[in-house]
Amino acid sequence: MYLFNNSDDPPTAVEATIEPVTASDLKKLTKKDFVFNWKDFAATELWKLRIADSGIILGVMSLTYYPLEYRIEINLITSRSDNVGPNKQYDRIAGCLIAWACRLAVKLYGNLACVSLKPKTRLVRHYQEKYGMLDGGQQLYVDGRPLYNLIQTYIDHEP
Amino acid sequence: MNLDAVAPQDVVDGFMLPAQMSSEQKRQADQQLALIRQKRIAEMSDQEKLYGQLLQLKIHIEDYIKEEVFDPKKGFSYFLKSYIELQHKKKNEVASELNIHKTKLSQLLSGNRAPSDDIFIRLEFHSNQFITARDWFRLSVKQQEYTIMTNTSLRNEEKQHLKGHLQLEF
Repeated sequence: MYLFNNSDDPPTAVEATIEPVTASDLKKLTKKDFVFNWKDFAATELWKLRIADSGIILGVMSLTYYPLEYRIEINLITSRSDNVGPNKQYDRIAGCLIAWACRLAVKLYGNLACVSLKPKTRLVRHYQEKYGMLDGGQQLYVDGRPLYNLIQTYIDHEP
Repeated sequence: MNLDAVAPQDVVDGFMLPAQMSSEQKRQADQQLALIRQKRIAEMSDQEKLYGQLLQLKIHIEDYIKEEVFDPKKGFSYFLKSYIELQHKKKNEVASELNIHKTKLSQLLSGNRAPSDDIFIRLEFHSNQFITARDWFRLSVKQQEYTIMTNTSLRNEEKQHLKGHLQLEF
């Protein structure tokens, strides 16, 4: 799994790692750095993304499991507030985290796996275009081939 | 930080920002999705099912290899059995496809025979290179490592063969 470091010209691939958020991590996830108050999501399953050889957290994700529906819902993903916009240093952060949720879903539910999200209306079309999300009425979801494609593109693919 | 001022295409590269929904709206949204999914699952082709199940097995193998601990119930044969079961084929049929004798496959499945390099490679090609020979090999090595460190009778027997050893005082 890799991110693109845009501070290099041309951008270079850097290895990334996704791990569970620990209690000590949670203290570091300030609203200033990660836009939201992550302590409010402490009851959900939290994952962090970092560069493999660095302890600095670049992205965080909150998940809720719905085993009866073979589904994992992404409640929230944020990147560091200094890595936003056209001049951001790292690309692919949300893609890697979404694909990680897909991988978790396949590990648990196999061919029935589904990942869903309820994004802000103005972003819906962009999640569909960028990640192949499908229209699930009042939310977006991904399953089957589009879900497997996300794992292939963001987790298994090597640069 | 005001993310509403950031272009949507830049937001989706680093964020999943949730819509404001009441509990009732969320419940309705989930109900609606459950109906859509029911239909999709019913229409899923056998190929799609097989692909999802193979991917699930591949992820289990990858994660198990990374784990520090060896589970005696999860040797090479455990995963080989899972691989064969999800294809809904008879053992004879799989043995024939791998071009090995059915007895050899039975021995591999019972754990009475250690797999050799040719088996790892044949399994990789049999899965259309979906599960690599490297992963099958690593599963086998994990088992070997456990055996080397825990087989007391073998360790005692081998110790008797030594005619000398390093004298280390620290």
